[in-house]
Amino acid sequence: MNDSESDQMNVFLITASRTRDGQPVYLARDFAWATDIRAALWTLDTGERDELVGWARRQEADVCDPYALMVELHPSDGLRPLTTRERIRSAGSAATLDALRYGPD
Amino acid sequence: MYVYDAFDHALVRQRAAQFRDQVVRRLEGEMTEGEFKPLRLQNGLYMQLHSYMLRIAIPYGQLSGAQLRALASVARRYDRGYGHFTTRQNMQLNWVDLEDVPPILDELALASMHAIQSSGNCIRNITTDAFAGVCPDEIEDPRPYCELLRQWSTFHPEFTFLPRKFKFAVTGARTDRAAIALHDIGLRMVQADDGAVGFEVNVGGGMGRTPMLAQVIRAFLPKPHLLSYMEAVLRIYNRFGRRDDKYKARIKILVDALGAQEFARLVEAEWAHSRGGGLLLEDAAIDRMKVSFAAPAYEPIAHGQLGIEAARLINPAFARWAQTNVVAHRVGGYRSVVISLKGHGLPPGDLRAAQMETVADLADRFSFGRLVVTHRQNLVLPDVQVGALFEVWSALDDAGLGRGNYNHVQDLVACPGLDYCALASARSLNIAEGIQDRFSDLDRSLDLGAVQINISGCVNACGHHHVGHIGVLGVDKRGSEFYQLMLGGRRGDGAALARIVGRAFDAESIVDAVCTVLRTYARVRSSAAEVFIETVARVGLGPFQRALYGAGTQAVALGRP
Repeated sequence: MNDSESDQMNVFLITASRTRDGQPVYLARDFAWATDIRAALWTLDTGERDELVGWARRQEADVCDPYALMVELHPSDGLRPLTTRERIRSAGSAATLDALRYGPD
Repeated sequence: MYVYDAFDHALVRQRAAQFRDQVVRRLEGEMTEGEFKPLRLQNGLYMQLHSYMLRIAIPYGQLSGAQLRALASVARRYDRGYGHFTTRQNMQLNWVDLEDVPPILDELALASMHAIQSSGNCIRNITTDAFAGVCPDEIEDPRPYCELLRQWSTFHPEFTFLPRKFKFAVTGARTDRAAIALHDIGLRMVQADDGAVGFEVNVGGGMGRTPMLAQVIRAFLPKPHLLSYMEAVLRIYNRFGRRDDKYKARIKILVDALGAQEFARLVEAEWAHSRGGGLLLEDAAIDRMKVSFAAPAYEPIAHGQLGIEAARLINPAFARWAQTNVVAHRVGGYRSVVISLKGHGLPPGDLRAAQMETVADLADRFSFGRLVVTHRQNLVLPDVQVGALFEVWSALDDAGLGRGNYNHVQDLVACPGLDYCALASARSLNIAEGIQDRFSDLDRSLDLGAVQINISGCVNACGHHHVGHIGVLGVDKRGSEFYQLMLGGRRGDGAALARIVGRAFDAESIVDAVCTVLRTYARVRSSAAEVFIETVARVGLGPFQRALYGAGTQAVALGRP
């Protein structure tokens, strides 16, 4: 990590879509894939980030198109994606369904 | 409607079996996502934000009651009990697991359905007038030609890997309800002075990040040459269309770069080599196809007309619905019924499985087993006797589908946006819901007359914001959602692209901004008879801009207007 990157304190985690159902998953501290972003392994180190992405890309049977995601350490939410897209994605399908008021058929 | 023959059945069954094998290989790790992706896309399977999405083809929007029941069945068994009807007259399932896609395709195949060519750089689902075959202003029913085009384009080996996706629209009516100017190829059936019917060929229209209106490259194409001429157009596009930049790969960019005249010259030269070949459509072939779309056994006497008038008087909700959602039919005593999928507690175009079954039953009981998906995300029962209208409405109302808002404020079009779509920049469904909530008072909605609102969550324009009378485009600005407001778009005859009124609005302000536009319209229209789009054409953007950006109006800067 160089000084400028350190000053910005960028926090990264690794995310992908699960092969069997397409659900967003996050590389967890036990190197399994978790559906809850709060379980995600995070790093400040861009070199480590790139290594983790490389490792994730070799898990292609389980996940699709892994990439590094920039987040912030939010006081109440914990790991919080910086973009609306990723916040919606990490909130999961239940939140989307609630928002759209779907109930049982 | 067209009924599959043995060849069609075998084709979709074999395709489902082929994809089953590909899915197994992907799940067992024998295939990477990079290898699998083009295969799944060729079967309409996308990776969206939360899940896989399966786009099921509904050729030119035509469905039987049995097919809608099959869609309800797969939505309930393999998804979350609902489906989403799209602006290309297809249906999407938003929550499918990969291992369930092969059985879904098997079930669809049993119902003469599939997901072939609902994605990828190929010829996509062909769309047409939702009132094709039943509207009073039709020169000729376009559906036989849509089906001929579908059969010609399905698995066409030369056009499987075009520079970019390719969309046809066909209309046979004097009034364009198929938005032919907004398609890669738009075909309008026209009648020559000698009475012969053929096609006006429009090429190079489209929306997306570079919206353009199609231009006429041939004023009259005799029907026998339909397929050979289309093949010539596709060949010129395939040969000269750009493949180096996906944002410049659509045919509209090529037509614009060459000029319509030069593009037409190239097509005519290509066509000169092939026009007399095996694609010549003989009258007998056209007539055979027309049999599939023969008119049902209409009963010429309208029963129950007086009862309908009485129902109008005593039931205001039915009266409103009958005024807005019942459309003229070419046969006396019949009407087409638009089933609004808007403002019923679900996002635009969404329908629960149980509601699908209700609509399928109504199609079987009252509309010769036939219904149509419209490109404004509604359904149509095309052949309903006047005397049955109240019974149809009552059943729809019981199912939560009896709203009379067709072509009014609540009947807005919206793409799935960032709630589902991996490409989206902003949400669209919450904006749609906000507008619909604001206009839940139907009388107020009716006072505003015909107005079409279109919302897209990104520049790809699946919500057709470029041709909304009021268009809303979601954009991402430094991680936040903003919305550009556009006015004056039209599809159909006199098609026009909407113009941006000014700076974008944030998510909290855009619904207020739409309301401001509509209040301004109500203030400046010349009379109650002047509809919104006519007022915009007459007064321009000025009054709306002053109302939106005057003192006290919250407008957040997003670059220069």
